Amino acid sequence: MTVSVRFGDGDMIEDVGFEGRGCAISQAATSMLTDLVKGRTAQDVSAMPKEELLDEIGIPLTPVRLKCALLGLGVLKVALHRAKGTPLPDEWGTSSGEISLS
Amino acid sequence: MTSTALPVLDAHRLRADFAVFDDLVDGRPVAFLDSAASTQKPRQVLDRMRTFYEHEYANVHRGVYRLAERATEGFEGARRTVAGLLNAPSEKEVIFTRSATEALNLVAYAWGLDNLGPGDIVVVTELEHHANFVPWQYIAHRTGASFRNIPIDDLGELQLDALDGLAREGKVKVVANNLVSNTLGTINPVEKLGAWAHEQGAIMVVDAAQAAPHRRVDVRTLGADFVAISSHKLCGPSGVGALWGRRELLEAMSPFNLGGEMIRSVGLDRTTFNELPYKFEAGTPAIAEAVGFGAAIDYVSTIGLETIERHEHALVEQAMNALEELPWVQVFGPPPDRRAGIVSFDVEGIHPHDVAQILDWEGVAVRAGHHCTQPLMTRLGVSATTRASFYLYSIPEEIDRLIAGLHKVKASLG
Repeated sequence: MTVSVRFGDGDMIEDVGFEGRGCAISQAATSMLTDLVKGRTAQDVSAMPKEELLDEIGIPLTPVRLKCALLGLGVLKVALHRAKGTPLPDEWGTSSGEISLS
Repeated sequence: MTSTALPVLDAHRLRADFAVFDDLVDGRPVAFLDSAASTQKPRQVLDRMRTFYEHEYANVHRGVYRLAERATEGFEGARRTVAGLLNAPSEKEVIFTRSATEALNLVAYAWGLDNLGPGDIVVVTELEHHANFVPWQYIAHRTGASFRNIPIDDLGELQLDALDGLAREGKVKVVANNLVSNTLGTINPVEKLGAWAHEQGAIMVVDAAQAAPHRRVDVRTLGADFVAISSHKLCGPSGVGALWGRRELLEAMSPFNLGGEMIRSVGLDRTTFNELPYKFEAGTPAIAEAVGFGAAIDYVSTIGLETIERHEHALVEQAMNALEELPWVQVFGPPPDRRAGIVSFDVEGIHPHDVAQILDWEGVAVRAGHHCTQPLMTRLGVSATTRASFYLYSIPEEIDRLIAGLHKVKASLG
């Protein structure tokens, strides 16, 4: 999933869009997310609790489908972190590491 | 009795939960005095595993269907139960392993290979189980680090005055110790060792396999960085154990096993690792065993670890008093007030294998051998010992049978 953000004054999110292939829940949830965050600051959205999006979705989700529903929010928070240096959620911890051959 | 009296464990009543004691051998149930090797299993644990297999089983994680959700909930519920047992700050810090041994190997490999090198010192103890000894000996050898041990005194207690000398030899990076010695029952001063380890900038690795089933282990006050425990020594099934580790250390560590579940994404030339605890849980885990482990913790916790500890203390005191009346028996290790429910001894002139064989004819099950502590055997000057160990279902009559059996051993071979 790729999330694109256009900022207005300061770090206000003027517009946000996404592209990607995924299940119905991930696509619908991320679509709702874009409406939810427009006009808010990067700082505000970086601290947005996942419950806010889940309330908006409004249907019960099993733990596995929670991952689908929250995918877009996670990608958006990484985008804001890269663009504006906002903090990533504490619960993510630090990097878990990787192997890279390139 | 006052109203503040502590609860007393009714082992005779608890034994009804263990079908093994319904089986009579020569008219009597087995006097099972080998719980330090592995414990018997109550029907509550077996029933839980059976129900799980019959009604809740599928592979865990990622499954979208409801049965997979139930299996995952059972497995992750067991992880929360383990976290509760150890008072862990987060269940993300609890990694399921095959055993306490695998948990200790995980730390030795995944932390040790990246963080040890020439000039560094790995410190273990003379009474360590091989599981917390050999992995460190091996990784020290692989990395060029020095490998040292803290000696014990004649009572089997650690000689902490050796620590200053160790610190002068180089950079101490690891201190590894068991909380309770599986051979002598010594309760080791892990808090003190941990404080010393941290002064040196070292990690403290605690093998709590013999402690967690018998007394409260609280990772928030223990001062350890890693704690390994086992299910099968706590009334649970074998094939599963757990590692608790400090989150910041686990996050910085390389993975141990690699494969499914431990990844976030995989490409031809790049793989990123999953978040805790899954980063360290490659492959399908022992699912029902983990659920059984959780049920065993519930069983033991309902009885109460303090209650179990007091019960075993009374038994070990009874056993040591009785053994000390036999002039041809030498008991190893500290006095009862400084040990857990384990007694190792030597019967003068008779090999432990022969002692255990004759005791078995009397229906008394004890362990004879080096108990995976060969450096300790060398220190004690013996090739093996006979070991009796107790748990929540142990009763005073079994110790009477042990003593009567030892008189037969003496009469036939002494």
